[in-house]
Amino acid sequence: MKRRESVRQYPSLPGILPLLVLALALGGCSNSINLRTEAEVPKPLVAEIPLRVGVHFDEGFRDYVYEEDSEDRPNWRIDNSASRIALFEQVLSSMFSQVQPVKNIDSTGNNVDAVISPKVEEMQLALPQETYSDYYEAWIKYSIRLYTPDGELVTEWPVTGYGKSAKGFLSSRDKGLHTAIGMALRDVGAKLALGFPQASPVKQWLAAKTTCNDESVSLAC
Amino acid sequence: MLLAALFSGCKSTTIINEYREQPTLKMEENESIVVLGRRHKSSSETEVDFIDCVGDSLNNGRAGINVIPEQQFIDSMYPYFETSTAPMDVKKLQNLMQQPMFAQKLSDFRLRYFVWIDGYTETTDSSGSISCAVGPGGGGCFGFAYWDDEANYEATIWDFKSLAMSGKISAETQGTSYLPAVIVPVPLLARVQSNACKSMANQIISFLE
Repeated sequence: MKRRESVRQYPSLPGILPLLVLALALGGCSNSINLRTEAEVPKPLVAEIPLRVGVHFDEGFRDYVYEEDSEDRPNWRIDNSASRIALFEQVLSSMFSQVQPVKNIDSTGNNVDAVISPKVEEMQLALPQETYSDYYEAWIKYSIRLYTPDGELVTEWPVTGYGKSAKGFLSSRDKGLHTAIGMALRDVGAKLALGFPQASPVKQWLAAKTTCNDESVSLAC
Repeated sequence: MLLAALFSGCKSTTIINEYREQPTLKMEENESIVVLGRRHKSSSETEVDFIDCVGDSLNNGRAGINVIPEQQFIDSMYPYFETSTAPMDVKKLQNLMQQPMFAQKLSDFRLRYFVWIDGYTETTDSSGSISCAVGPGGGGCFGFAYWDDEANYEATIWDFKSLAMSGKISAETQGTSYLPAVIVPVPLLARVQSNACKSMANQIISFLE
C-alpha cells in the first residue's frame, strides 16, 4: 500500500518578496492612525486640601476619542481615555484629603464638600512635516468644573497641557505622538495640581469652605 | 592622503567659557548633584541623551560624583520640575523652598547642586550625494557626502545650600563628518555632541574640585 504523504506547500521567498515589499511600502506610506495611548503620571508632591471631594467623569469625558478624517489625516483615531482618567484620579486624590467617585453632579447624599467634573474641550496634534519642525506636538485643553454638593456650578477653570517629542532617526510617527500626548497629560496634571487651588474663584471658595469645615468656626457658616 | 585628510577633518573643536561666582564648589561625601535639561523653548530642547551623558561622565569619572538621574528626580519632584513649571531662576527655587514637602524631598536627596543645561546640537550645513543601487548580482553605493554639526550648551549651577547661583559654563563644539561610499559607505563621524558632553563634564568637575 502506497503511503500517502501530506506535503504542505509554502510559497517560496522570491515569490512573496514583491508582496512583502509592497505591503511594507504601503504600510509606511499609510496616513491613517489608530492609536491607544497610555501614560503614567507620578503622584504629585502637594499638600492635601482638607476637603472631601466627589469626582464625576461624565460620558463625554470618559468616552472622548480624538477622531479626524480629512485629506491630510485620513482615519485618525487616538484614544487616550485610560490615561486621561488615571491622570485625574491620581492628581485629584493627591490634592484633597478624601476623593470619591460620584455618579451625578448633584451629590447631596454623598457627604462631600464639592464635586469636580472635568470636560475635554479640545485636543490638537501636529506632525514635524506640518510645522517644519523637529517635533511631534500635542495640546490638550480641559475645563475643570467645580460644583457645590447640590450641583450648583461654582466655577469653571480651563487648563491646557502641551507636550512634544523629538522625531528621531527611524522612530515612528505613532511613537512620536504617543510620547507627545503623554507629555501633554503630564503637563495638565502639573498645572492642575499647582494652578487649580490658586485660581482666584477656586481660592476664595476653598478658603471659605476649609474655614467652614473647621469645627471651631463652623457655626458661623 | 585623502583618507588622512578625511580622518583629520573629522576632528571637532570645543571652546569652553566659564564664569564663577565662587572660586570652587565644595561637596560633602554624601551629597549629590542633579543635571537637568531646559526644554521650555518651542523650537528646540536640550536632548535627554546629552543630559544622561553629562550625568554619567560626572558619576563615572575620577570625581565619582553622586548624580541623581534626571527622570528619577523629575518624577520624584512632580509637579515642580516639569517643562512648564520648573524654576527658571534661583529666586523661584527660594519661593518653592517655603513649601515643607518640597524642601523635605530635596533634603532627602541630599542635594547640593543643580546643574541646568540649556542648548542643543544641530546640523548647520550639508553637501554631497550618495547613490545606492541593488541588482540581481548585488548592490552598492557610490558618492560622497559631508555635513557640519554644531553643539552649543550652557550649564548654570545653583547651590542648594546657599540658594544662589555658583557659576556658568558654556561649551561650543563644531565638527565636520564625512561619508565616502565606494560600494560600502564608510561613515567618518565627528563626535560633536559627545565631545561637547565630555568637555562640559570635565569643566564641571574642575569647578567642583
